[in-house]
Amino acid sequence: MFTTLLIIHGLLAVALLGGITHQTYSAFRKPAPAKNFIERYGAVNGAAYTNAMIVLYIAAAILGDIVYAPYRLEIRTALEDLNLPKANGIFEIKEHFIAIGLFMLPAYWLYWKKPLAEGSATARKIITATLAFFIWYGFLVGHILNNIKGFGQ
Amino acid sequence: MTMHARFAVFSLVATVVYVLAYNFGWQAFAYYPLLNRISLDKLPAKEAGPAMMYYGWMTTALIAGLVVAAIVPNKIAAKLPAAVAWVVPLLLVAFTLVYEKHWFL
Repeated sequence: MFTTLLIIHGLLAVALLGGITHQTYSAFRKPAPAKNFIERYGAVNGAAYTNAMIVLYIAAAILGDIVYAPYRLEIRTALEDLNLPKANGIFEIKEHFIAIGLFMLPAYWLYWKKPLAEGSATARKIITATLAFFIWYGFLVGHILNNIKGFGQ
Repeated sequence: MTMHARFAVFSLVATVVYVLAYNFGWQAFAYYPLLNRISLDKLPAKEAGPAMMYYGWMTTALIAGLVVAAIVPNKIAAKLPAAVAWVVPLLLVAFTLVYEKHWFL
């Protein structure tokens, strides 16, 4: 069951990763006609992503919290037995980043609320980029740890 | 915007309190996955297995954020500079990396 939940957690993370990367790029892109693939990638309405990103983040975080308990018993113990403190360290950082990101969501929603306030453009950009960093970090760390030891291995 | 400014207050307080909670051990409770039990008291590791504080830190931060966001006057909430909403999380990221550096030394 936990393997299934972990796969769903990973799939939600993929969707979240794609959306937040798009939104971050659009937030930093200067408004101009999109001429090529890269420019078209960023020429999206960033505000339209906000609610979907919040729902995906919360759903992925809840699933992550559910699989965290069996992780603590099965995986972390194994990593300690294998004497891999760095693997435990990158996970500890992941849990803190994801929690901080979760609590940042109300501010993220506020600064992407339409009509977009001109004076909060920097906050919008950096909050979104910070969340994108957390999500990328969490995704990569999750993959690395699953490669070291997955559930039921 | 005035009412919504409380969202930024919640984020500010909850993120800061989360970091304080894991730094100072302010978990609202501990969870013992081996026993599938939540406890307000520390249980002996020999019988209870490892304790998880994460859910307790999250709960502490959530409660603090909700309480402060509920009681802060609208005027003060609206005066919160937008820069605080991104400077503080970046500082918390830096603090977290320093706090967890012992794993890599």
